[in-house]
Amino acid sequence: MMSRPEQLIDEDDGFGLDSPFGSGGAQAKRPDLSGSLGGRIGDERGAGAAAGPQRTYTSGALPGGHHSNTLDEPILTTIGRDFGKVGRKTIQVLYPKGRDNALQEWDLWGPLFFCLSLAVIMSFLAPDQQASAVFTGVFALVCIGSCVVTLNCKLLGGHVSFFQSVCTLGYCISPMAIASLVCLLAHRIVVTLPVVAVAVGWSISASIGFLAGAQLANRRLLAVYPICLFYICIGWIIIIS
Amino acid sequence: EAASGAHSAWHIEYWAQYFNVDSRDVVQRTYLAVVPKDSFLDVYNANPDLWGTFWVPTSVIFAMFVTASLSQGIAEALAGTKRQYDFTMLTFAVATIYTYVFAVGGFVYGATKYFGSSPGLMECLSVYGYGMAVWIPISVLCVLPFNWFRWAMVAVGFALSGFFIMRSVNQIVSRSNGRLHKAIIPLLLAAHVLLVLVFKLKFFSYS
Repeated sequence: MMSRPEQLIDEDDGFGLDSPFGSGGAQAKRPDLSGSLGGRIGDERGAGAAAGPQRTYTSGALPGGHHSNTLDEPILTTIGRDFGKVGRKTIQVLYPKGRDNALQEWDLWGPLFFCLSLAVIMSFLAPDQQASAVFTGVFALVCIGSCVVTLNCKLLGGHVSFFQSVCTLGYCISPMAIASLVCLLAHRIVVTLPVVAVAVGWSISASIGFLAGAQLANRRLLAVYPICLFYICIGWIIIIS
Repeated sequence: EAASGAHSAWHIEYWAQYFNVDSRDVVQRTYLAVVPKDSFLDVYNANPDLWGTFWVPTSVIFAMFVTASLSQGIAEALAGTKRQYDFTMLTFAVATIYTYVFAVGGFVYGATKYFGSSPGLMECLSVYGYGMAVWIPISVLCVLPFNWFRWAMVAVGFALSGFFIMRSVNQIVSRSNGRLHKAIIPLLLAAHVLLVLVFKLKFFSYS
């Protein structure tokens, strides 16, 4: 195991992968995430797994103010950042207090995750010979439904970006996914009915809140109605399971 | 037809012209389809819209799926058997209703155009799309588990929607003077009977 003293300049930086550093970039103290999968491409001395110290660069330390070089960071940091974004957006949907605006930049990881988990849970709840039909049906319903509802809103003249709206509708599925999990654990109608009703109301109000910025004058009902239809349909499928 | 501007059918702006309706207009058109007193096509052709043509059949699909699974659940709860739901009913409803609206509507357009009337594709589809609206209240009423009542309700639905569709198609067909294409009206009537029978036997039949 090599021991690296606190060196500011690493002579091995010469493979062209992190060119912004040139010859004199100051680097922050490297946190030592032992046991992680960190390492650099082309680092011939650190070829053993988790052998070397990890390096992260802060943008303030780089000449010219470049963005931090995310190619060299540990994979856990990269994945953690994406999970953090997804988590922040989900919390924004579930607890929309304050103008957090986490939903301004869209991504489709969160919607895919919630759609998949909903479809998987629904196929568990379905009768055995219909399990795959239910999975396909729910997945298709969520995907195609959110695209169609978004398209409807755009065609009515609303000022929404297509992917941002699909992203929001997908994140608003998260209360339904939680409700279906509850229904999986407790099979009694007295539990499922109020839980699903609350989840449907939550999803609808969250997505209507997003739609408030779309500027539809006399056509709000025409845009809101398909959203309600979409979520009530999913909620009904959960209830009858 | 409304001017389409400089956009081709591949741009979203082209289709946006068919969504230029307010909530009030849609409610009025749906009402004219369910209670066929005044002429639907006169109101519709002033400002053709696709919103109702798509979302009314979609709502019918949803309403029939909900009420059918509800009555199935009630029937099984009363009989004491274990509750199993049939997801394929939803896919069946989707296939049936969309096929009926778009295939038969498209057939009306094609046939009347072939025989010399000047139909609009949007108005032909809208007649069938909005004409489905009566099935939403009918399907809610058919939750009640009395078979004779369900047959009565289905007959009322058949009468109302059939009358609306036939009168609108007649209006389109009468734009030219040929007699030959009046032969398509019995065909459409037969298709409508078939649809109504499928509804009754598949969706409104749990006792």
